[in-house]
Amino acid sequence: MNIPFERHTLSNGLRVLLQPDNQTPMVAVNLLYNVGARDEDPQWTGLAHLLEHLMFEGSKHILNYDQPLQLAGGINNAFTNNDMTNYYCVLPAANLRTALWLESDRMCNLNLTEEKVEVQRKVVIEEFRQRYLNQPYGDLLALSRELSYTQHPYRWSTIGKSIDHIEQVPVSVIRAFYEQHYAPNRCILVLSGNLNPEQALREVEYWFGDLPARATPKIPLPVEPPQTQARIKQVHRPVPEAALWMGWPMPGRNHPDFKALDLFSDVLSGSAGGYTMDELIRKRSLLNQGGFYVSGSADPGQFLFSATLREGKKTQEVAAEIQSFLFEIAEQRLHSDDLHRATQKMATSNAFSDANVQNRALRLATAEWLGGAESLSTEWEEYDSLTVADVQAAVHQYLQPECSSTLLYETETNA
Amino acid sequence: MQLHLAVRNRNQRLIHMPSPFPLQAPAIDLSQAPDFPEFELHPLPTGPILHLLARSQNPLSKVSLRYSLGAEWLGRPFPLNTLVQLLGEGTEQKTAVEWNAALDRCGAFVQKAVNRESLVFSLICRSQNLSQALPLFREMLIESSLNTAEFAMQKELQISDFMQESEQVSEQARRLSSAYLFQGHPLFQDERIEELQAMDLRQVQAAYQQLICGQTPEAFACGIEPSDLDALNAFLASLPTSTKREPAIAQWRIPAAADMHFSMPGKSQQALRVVGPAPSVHLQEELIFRFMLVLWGGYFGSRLMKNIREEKGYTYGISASPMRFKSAAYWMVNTQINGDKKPETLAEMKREAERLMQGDVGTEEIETVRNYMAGSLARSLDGVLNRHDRLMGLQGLGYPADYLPMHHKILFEIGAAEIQVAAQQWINPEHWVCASAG
Repeated sequence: MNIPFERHTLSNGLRVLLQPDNQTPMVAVNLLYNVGARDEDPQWTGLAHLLEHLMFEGSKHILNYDQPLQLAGGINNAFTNNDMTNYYCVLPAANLRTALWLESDRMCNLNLTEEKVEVQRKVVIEEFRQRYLNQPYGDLLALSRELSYTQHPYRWSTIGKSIDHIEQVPVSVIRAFYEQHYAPNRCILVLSGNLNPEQALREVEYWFGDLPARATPKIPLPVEPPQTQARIKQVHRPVPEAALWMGWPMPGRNHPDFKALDLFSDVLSGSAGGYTMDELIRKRSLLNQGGFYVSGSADPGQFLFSATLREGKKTQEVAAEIQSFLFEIAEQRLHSDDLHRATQKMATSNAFSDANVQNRALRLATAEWLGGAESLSTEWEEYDSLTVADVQAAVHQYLQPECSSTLLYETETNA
Repeated sequence: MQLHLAVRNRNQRLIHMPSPFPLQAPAIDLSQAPDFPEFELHPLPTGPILHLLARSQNPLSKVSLRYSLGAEWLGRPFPLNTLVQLLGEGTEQKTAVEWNAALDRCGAFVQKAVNRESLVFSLICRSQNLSQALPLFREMLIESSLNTAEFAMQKELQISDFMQESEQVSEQARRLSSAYLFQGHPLFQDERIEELQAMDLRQVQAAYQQLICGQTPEAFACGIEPSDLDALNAFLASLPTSTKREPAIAQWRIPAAADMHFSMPGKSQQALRVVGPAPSVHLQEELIFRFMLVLWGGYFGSRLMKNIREEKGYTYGISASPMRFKSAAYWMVNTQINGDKKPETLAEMKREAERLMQGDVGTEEIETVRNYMAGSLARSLDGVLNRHDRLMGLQGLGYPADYLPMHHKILFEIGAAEIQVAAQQWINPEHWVCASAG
């Protein structure tokens, strides 16, 4: 589980993690920016993600981001979520300098023009349609967020609340958002792969060392008040089967109780031998597909259940059964062997992920962002040391019915 | 941490160091050819041939078995999908929960895939647990119970999946395209809901007996410690053996050009799938074709992506990819577009194809594609698991052993003239089969 790495912090605040691995001919360059959809103005949602698209549209000194990287034999991509925006390149290690050249220029010198913004608005709107508006159950995520959060900006999705926001956000607002959030002191740079740490650090110093830090402090986000009453919402949509979504507030990734609930969701739904498959799908015939998982956000998140239901099952009745099922499993059936099985699978999943330089760089960057990449070497042991009593305590504390939010997603024939 | 304020010039642009910022990209180096991997072949006395990836010590082990579908089971996705789901849903000795729990204790996963011409099952676990996991893998494969209750549940779940997929424009375009392309050929798949509803357990049991219990699979492995070779040999020796040879399947040929549409009122986008012919396995010609296809629509910097996404903004993504089976080869372009932009999108696709057919391609563009493909080749061979998957894929399609080095070499020999010839031969719009849904 141990991934050896070096950490350096440049004078401008850029944190640099170097993870040498001479078994690969490649190097992954991962830049995690501390900005996500949670940092957006409610009036202009979807902005962090739109900006991610614009980051590939050229910078002050380099008109085309992609081509030099492709010429160097590399690939790149990015993703935005509610907490972060992450960019990565993977290329032959001999060409590391090309990636650093490109990334350093767009970190502080993005070239935003009206024309580029207009094209990327269209592209993002098509993404909005393709992933959410033109898909069965495509609005479920947005509806569930609105139901779960009243104050915190997790109440909207990364893609944004509405196409209107993407269509209308002024270029000046996009530029201000970029200048506020993109800077070396807002970024974690991880290099993983075939590299000499000393040389790599010199290269990083050369390309990023003189970039200016930005002093603008992060604005504190609204805190979600404790939920004390169950919430329920019903919608009807043209879908073939009814769906059910439920959420319970739970702590963020760094809280001591996070792992117990995360492990519980694995026990329930992480295996074909888990309780969801065996009880809810095989024996009780309630669900076609679905299960439990955690949102895994940095700020307090949600313990989640999402499923489509078997024909004839009533959403409200299944919701009641799901609530009691959680306590039935935790109190009466949970066994230390369940936890052992889940952690064994986790160990293999982690090894599988770490076999790839790109995944390894992202795991290091994320862990560093959450508080320290050293945690990767102790994380699994912490999961493995959890007891049935730990999980039961967390279930009792966080998964009570009065804390739940429930979305009944009905077919139109049930309207 | 002390923060330094940004220095700004009159345009409020940040001044960037190193100064002056180099406008030329750093020099690149692609001189190092990838370390091309090789399988060691181990014919076992019991029948199976083990393709063992050489020099592959790794924290993870992967053992894959590939079962050829043969003529009888080509084009019958429903019983095969159900069979694959049922494997792991209980054996002669264990219930589904017991079997899965035992697998979990080894921290092991089984990947299952129904391909057009084969079924593939892969066991992945940490190397230290391989000898415990292999007997479970065997039990899943040749001692599955396939009982009535499990079948009924899996059939219901499959019908549910089918109904959900039917709401997606991309899936409807795929079905429409596939039905037209493969009509009259063994690769044709009857994908009507009536066919799924009529499926019974006997079909699934017959597939199981013939394909899994009555056939010697091809075996591939990587990340095997010397101490686990005995366990691996015992596992392979316990699998059924058969000397039956499948008759060859007639080569598929692309039908006449067509433009079809499946109407789905209320959808805000259309899915568009365009298909054309491709060369069968013939090393040099096929690699030039692939190069041309990547340049046209196969990567982020391609003509189609630049034109249709980055300049016009009609789509979130568009991609061209080669499709290859033992009995068929073709290319396809997939995209989802703004509801009223199908004519414009097709017109731009044709325009870009015609430019290539006229030889309108520059040196820099060729160099970019070449280097991109050289990097992709190196990435696809990075790590033991990637090597295993890549070699298994190539071996299954009958590529020669020197394909990968040859691929790398030919990349550096392709020029504008070869691309023009390939474009004229393979992406001429007169031969396109277009299917849309939305």
